[in-house]
Amino acid sequence: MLLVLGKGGVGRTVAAAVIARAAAVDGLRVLVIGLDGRRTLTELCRGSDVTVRMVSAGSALEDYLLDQGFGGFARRLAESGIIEVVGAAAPGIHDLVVLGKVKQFANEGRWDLIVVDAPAAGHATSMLTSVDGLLGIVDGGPIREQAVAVRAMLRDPVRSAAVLVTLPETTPVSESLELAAITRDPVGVAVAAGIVSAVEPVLDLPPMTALGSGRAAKGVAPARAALERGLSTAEVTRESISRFVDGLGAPVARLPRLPVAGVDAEDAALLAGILRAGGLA
Amino acid sequence: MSAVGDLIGSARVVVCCGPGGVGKTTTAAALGLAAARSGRRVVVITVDPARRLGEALGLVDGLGPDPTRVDIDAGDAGGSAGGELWAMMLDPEVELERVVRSHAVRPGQADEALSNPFTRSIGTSLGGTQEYMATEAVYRLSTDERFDLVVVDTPPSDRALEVIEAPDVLVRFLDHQVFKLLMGTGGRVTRLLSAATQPLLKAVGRVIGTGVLDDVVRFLRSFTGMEHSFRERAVAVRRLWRDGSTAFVLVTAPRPDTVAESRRFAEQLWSAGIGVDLVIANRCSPAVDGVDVASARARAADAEGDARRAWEYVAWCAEVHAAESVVLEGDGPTVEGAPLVRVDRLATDVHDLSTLASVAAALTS
Repeated sequence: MLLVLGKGGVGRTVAAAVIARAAAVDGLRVLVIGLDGRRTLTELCRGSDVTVRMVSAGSALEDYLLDQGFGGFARRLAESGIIEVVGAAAPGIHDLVVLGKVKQFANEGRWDLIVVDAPAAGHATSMLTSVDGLLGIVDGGPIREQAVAVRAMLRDPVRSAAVLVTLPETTPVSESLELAAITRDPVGVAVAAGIVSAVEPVLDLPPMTALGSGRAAKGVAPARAALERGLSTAEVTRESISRFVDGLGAPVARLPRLPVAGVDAEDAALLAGILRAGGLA
Repeated sequence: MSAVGDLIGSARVVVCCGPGGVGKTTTAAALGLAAARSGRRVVVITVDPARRLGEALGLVDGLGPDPTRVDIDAGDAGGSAGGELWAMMLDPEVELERVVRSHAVRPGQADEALSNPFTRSIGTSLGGTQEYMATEAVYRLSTDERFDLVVVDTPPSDRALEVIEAPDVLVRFLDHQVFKLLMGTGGRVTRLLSAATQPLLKAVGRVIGTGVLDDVVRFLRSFTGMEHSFRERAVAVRRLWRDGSTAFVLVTAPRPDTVAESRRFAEQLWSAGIGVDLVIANRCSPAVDGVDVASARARAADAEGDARRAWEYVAWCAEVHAAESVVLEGDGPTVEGAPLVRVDRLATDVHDLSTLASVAAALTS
């Protein structure tokens, strides 16, 4: 199971879809799980052999209660509002049932790889640490057993690993490295790899590259401005990527920023091809 | 004056909301800085667990649960015109203690409630609590005479709605039979209900362990008598969100999924009786004036070596700009009656006061 982690807006969902698609092309049976209820993941995996599932806290809890033999009781519990009180009684219970559902998929044995598009950074770590928090509160019963089993799954480097996604910018890299540290300890999930997403074409040109003169001078001034901008972006990009590579302690792949406003399924397939080739040079 | 200038010049509360990763925190800080430089006394509060605001404001020690004054005359951030900028980060535990102390109805009650082992974990990890604490903090700041503008940085949209709805959720919970049952109030009717619901509690006990349930009941009972005051506050906060002097700024980015999420969020706000006053499309790729994709490609084809690669890059920039314009101008994130302000991405990211000042300048130009 691969947990794809990153702050909002760094391209985490795209990275999850790209990893899943790349693995499916390699012939693996891949399941990708979305936890935030957005349809993006399904759209990005269209036209591939990847299976997409959405898991939400509400449905997972109901499923869990049904599995525990509470039967039609689950509905009454939900209607009575007591679920909210249970949630209050055992903070993290929603996160636990979500992770429990993921574990259930893992135990089915139908999948060679399960990719989880985790929620955004702060939320993801609270989700992952909530299992420990819950173990500190709940003294017994099935919930405790579930928490123990989920923790064992997360901490087993054979079964679970994390992929950290970042943008090639100063603050996102710092945040991603912090997230990597938390993922290792206290969460206890091994960090397997990093992905730098949306890398702009890196300019390695002399700043005063001749763009044209005389009759060809039209448009040169704005082009020059774009070029100068590109060069300073390239500097930040280079510095950020090398800091990420040095700090992560795991292999890092780079994916390009495509000249589009938003990545669609076709773009994701293209990126998956680039990832299979090891990412950008 | 610009749309942003008008807004930060007159509002009492500005709420920055929108999907994750669009730069809400930075935008909130930049709006705060711009307002302070125009002479207002501003406090910016972040309720996002991601702690970027302090960094952007150049506060090396980070932000605390109390407003910290930001030295806006430092560096090239520009003059302050008598304005002030303060910033703070929500600490749910500290806020919970404040709330409990301010609502306590008898001596010793606050200490009793706070000493319950449950109270601590509830302030930090219980879903909804953090959101409720955020509304409490915003309310408190809005009545604080030191400030004439409160800028709120909210968590990503789905959670932001929880912040807005927190007072309503609390009122519903306080009125809920289960709550009354657990509190042991309501007399005979409740006792009857209680008999009917006992198996429910037993079932819950079976799932989470009875020790936990006992803790919860003790926890809720330690709050006895505070319900009235909680309810009054919830009503006041509800009114504050919908007050004419409270402005909602929807921050978005020129990406199709982000724009779609922003539209949904604006609709949800609308159903909650809240209108969006301004839309900011953040981190747009700048236009290459007068150069379109085709002409830049033609130039690249005519050139060689470095010049060719340079023009290819220019074509790439023009292509990104064109693609983003389609997203913003097509179905767009536009909300009726709310101006759309486009802010170009900076070449470097915002990590100190002078880069923040560039964002503020771009916002108000």
